[in-house]
Formats: sequence, C-alpha cells, structure tokens
Amino acid sequence: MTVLVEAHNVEARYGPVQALRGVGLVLREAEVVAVLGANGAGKTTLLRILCAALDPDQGSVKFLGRDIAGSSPDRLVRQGLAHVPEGREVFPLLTVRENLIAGAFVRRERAAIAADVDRMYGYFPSLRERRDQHAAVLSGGEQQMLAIARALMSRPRVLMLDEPSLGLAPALVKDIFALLRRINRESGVSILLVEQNARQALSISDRGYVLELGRIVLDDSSERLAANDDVRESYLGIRDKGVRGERRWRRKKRWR
Amino acid sequence: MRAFVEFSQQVLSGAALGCIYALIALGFVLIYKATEVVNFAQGELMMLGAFLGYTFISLFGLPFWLGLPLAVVCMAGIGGLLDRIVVRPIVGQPVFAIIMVTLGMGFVARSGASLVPAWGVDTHVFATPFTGKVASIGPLVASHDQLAIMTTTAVLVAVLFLFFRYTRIGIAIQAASQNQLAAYYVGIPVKTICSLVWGLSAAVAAVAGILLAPVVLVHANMGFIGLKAFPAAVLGGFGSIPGAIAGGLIIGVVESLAGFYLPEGFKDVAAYVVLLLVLAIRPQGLFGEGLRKKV
Ligand SMILES: Nc1ncnc2c1ncn2[C@@H]1O[C@H](COP(=O)(O)OP(=O)(O)O)[C@@H](O)[C@H]1O
Ligand SMILES: [Mg+2]
Repeated sequence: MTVLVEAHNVEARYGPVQALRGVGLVLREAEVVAVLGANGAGKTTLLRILCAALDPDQGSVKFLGRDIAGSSPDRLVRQGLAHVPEGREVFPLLTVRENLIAGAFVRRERAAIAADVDRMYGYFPSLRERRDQHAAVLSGGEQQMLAIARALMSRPRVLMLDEPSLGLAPALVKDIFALLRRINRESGVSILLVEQNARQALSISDRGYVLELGRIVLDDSSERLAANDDVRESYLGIRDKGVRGERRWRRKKRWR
Repeated sequence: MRAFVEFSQQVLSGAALGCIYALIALGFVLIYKATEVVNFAQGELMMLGAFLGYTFISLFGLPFWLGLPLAVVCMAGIGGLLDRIVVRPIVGQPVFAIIMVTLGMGFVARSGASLVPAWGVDTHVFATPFTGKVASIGPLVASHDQLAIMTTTAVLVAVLFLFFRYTRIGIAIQAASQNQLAAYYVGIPVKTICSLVWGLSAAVAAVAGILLAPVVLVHANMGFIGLKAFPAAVLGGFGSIPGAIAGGLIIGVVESLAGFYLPEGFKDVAAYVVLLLVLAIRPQGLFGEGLRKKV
C-alpha cells in the first residue's frame, strides 16, 4: 500500500526540554494508526511537526513522497492533509454551518461543498440540529464533532486527530471512534489517531505506536498491542498475575 | 416646534459626520480583528485616499465615477503592500513596537503627502458631483454631500455584511480573526488574508476620505479625524463591526449637539466624554463580545 506520511528520525526541542527523540512513523493508504502516549509524551509536538506547524530540529517528514520542510499547514491541507487540533479549536463566533464552509476553504465547487455539508450532518445529526448556532455554545462533544467534520470538509487523504476523546464521556468517545472507523472504510481516508485513551484507540485502529518521553518504544498491530503486557499495565490499567517491577522497553533501553 | 427642528437638524449633520467616523472606525476594527494590530495610521489612509481622489478627479480631470473607484483600488493596493512590507515583519513583536510602527506610518504619510509637489501643505478644494447642492427634507436641510456620505455608508455596510456572511473569502476572514491557528489548519492562508484585510480597510478609508473631502477640504492633516474615530471604535467594543458603526454615529451626533447647545470647546472633548461614560457602565463597549479571542 502507498505510504502517505513518513517521518524519519524526528527530534524536537523546546529550549532545554527534548520533546521528541528519533521518532519514526509511517502511515499508509486507508490505514487507521494510533499513537498512544501519556500526558507530555510528545504526541501534540509530533502532530504539529507532521502538519508543518512546527519544524523539527532534526529528521525529516514526507507527505505523499515529498519532504514537507518549508511547507505550512495551509499548503498541506491543499495537498490532502487535514489536522484536528488538540482542544478542538472551532471558530467560536461562526455558526456550525459556517465552520464547515470554512473547512472547505481549499475547495471551489459550491455544489459538492453543499453536498458534503449534508454528508457531515448525516454523520453527526446533532450538528444538523445546531447548524445555525455559534460554535461557542455547543457542548464539548459537539465541538469535537464539528472539528472533525470541519477537517473532513477539505476532503483529505490523511486525517490526523489530536486526542479527540479529551474531556468527553466514554459512551460518546465510543460513538465518535466508531464513526471515524466508518468514515475510514467508506471514504478510504487514512487516519492518524493520537490518544491517551488506549483502549478505545486500539479498538478501532489497525496498527499503533507507543510514545513515551518522546521516544517510540513499541510499534505493532493494534491487536498485539492490546495484548501486550506492558501496554495493558501502563495504558489499559490492567494488572496481570505478578506485579512487573519494570517495563520491558525500559529495561531494553538501559542496556543499550 | 422650532427647538425640535433645530435639534433634528443637528442630529442629521452629526449623523453625516458620524458616518465618516464609522467608516474609519470600521477600518480600525477590521485590521484589529484580523491581525491584532491597532492601526493608528487609519486616518492617514483616509487622507491619502482623499488626495488620490483629488489627484485623479480634480488634477487629471477624470470623471468622478472613474476617479473614485480608481483611488479606492489604488488605496487597497497600498494597504496590502503596507501589511506585506511594514507590518508583517513586526507581527509578534511587543505591542508597543507595533503601535510605534503604525504611529510612524501616520507621520510618514503626513509628511510624505506634503512633499508631493501638487499636494503640499495647502488645503485643496475638491468638488464632487454633489458639491454645492442642498436638499430639503420637510423643515430640515441637508447638503447633497451629507446625503452622499450617509447613502454610501449604508450601502458599504450592507455590502460588507453580505460579503462577510456569504462569501468564501468573507467567512475565511472571520475564521482567521477568531482563531488563527485553526484557520491555518483548515487551509486558510492567514498571511494573505491579513494583507487582504489591510487592503479592504484602506479601500474603506479611501471612500471615507473622498466623501469627506468636499466637506472639510483636502489637506495633509485631515487624517487627524482618526483621533475621533478611535473612540468610536472603542465605544462600539473594538472588534465589533456593528459596534464601530454605532459608535461612529453616536460620537458624530453627540459632537454636533455639543457644538450647538454647549459652550465652545465642548465639541472637541464630547467624543471622549461619551466614551468614558459608556465604558464606566459597560467596560466591554456597546457591542463588545463576552468571548475572548483564543491565542
Ligand atoms: N510550547 C512549549 N514550550 C515548552 N515546552 C513544551 C511546549 N509544548 C510542549 N512542551 C513540552 O514538550 C513535551 C511534550 O509535550 P506535548 O507534545 O504537548 O505532549 P502531549 O501532547 O503528548 O501531552 C512536554 O514535556 C511538554 O512540557
Ligand atoms: Mg497533547
């Protein structure tokens, strides 16, 4: 399958804080890939670099085979990479419908845009009900749906989401994730899902990476990750027989 | 009855001047919302617009309806270039640096205008098709210049409303002024949008200048009227377009009434007195939005 996004040996620093250390990652056509990590692991930094909002200190990122160095988020949207940022970031004083129209800024065909607005209302019926209200008055869950729908309005080949589950009720998270999987199946859009909520993210993804303190420490199919003892312990909150003093990847690191 | 007619007459002329304040305030607000820069040279943009109109129409002898759009388009270009060349490099610097730069732009524009041979430091009479004609509305009288100011302002505001509400670019401008980062993420080229907004503000200023020119004459210091438009923008809640219009009208009318009923000298401080009163009661301004802008 075609590789759409490819990060190689990416390093990022905020002053003295090293946020990413030699991160490599691949996203292929039609895949759903999860990036799991605790708070401060470097997930947001990674996504910012992948969409060219931030330049890496080292390493390279390719989108559709081309290096994105010197590009910018708005140009990458034109090439088919959409980003749902952490914290939703909807346009508060635009209506729901206007937010969606703004999401289609890179497109021109009015009829097709209107059809896609309707398609989004189909995915997220509560947005249809609230289409003429300002985004600021929506609930957190509705704002998240709006942010996702807004990103889809650009008809991306790659959709990147930064912790869409943050602050939402578990049942709603489940619905939204199921919908992401459905949209992926129906339209073939590849999804890179960055999450702390490992259980839900692994339940809809094909593969996953585990990011810890800026380093990718595990990289496997979602099934195997969900069965992995270390992941179960640290991210799914499941303790198996016998308390493991140390996580495997940590031990490995130390010996290197 | 006579007292009422006098009063209405003052309100009418105040509203006409208030429209000019409103248009300049609108320019402040557009630029501030999109770029968070307070452009203290907005009055000077109006002055340049008036001079360009004077040049095309009075000096070059172009017909008014050709010279006007020409001056407006030139000013739009100048506004866009100012953003690209002067403002963009300093965005992100401390606020006072940006204020100094826009104040400086005003100084340069004033002295630059007086250095142009045909402009100089003199005042110039600028006749438009409306000049010298008077209409009576019942017992009230209004010059055609005043009526032109009010009509044009109304039309311009309506057009801008439709533009922001219904066009792709208009919605993109609003989006960029509400959340720049998110605007980038949906593919809006925010820098280009900022230049566009500067162009739009300069164009609106040019219209204001050309409408005002027959009333106050064209001269290099006519941009000081921006000092009255600024409280108009603040009064409306700096950041609200309807607020800028309302603020401009209120200040125009209050000033006119103060000039008529109060002793000399009150006229020029009236704008600030109204501003202080309103802000004491409603600190966010008349139309101020409760929502703070995100970073
Ligand atoms: N703007 C910033 N300035 C300084 N440090 C930052 C900044 N943003 C993030 N960091 C640091 O970089 C690390 C990774 O942060 P982030 O990418 O936001 O992690 P995550 O999204 O996984 O929570 C953290 O240690 C965080 O404190
Ligand atoms: Mg984060």
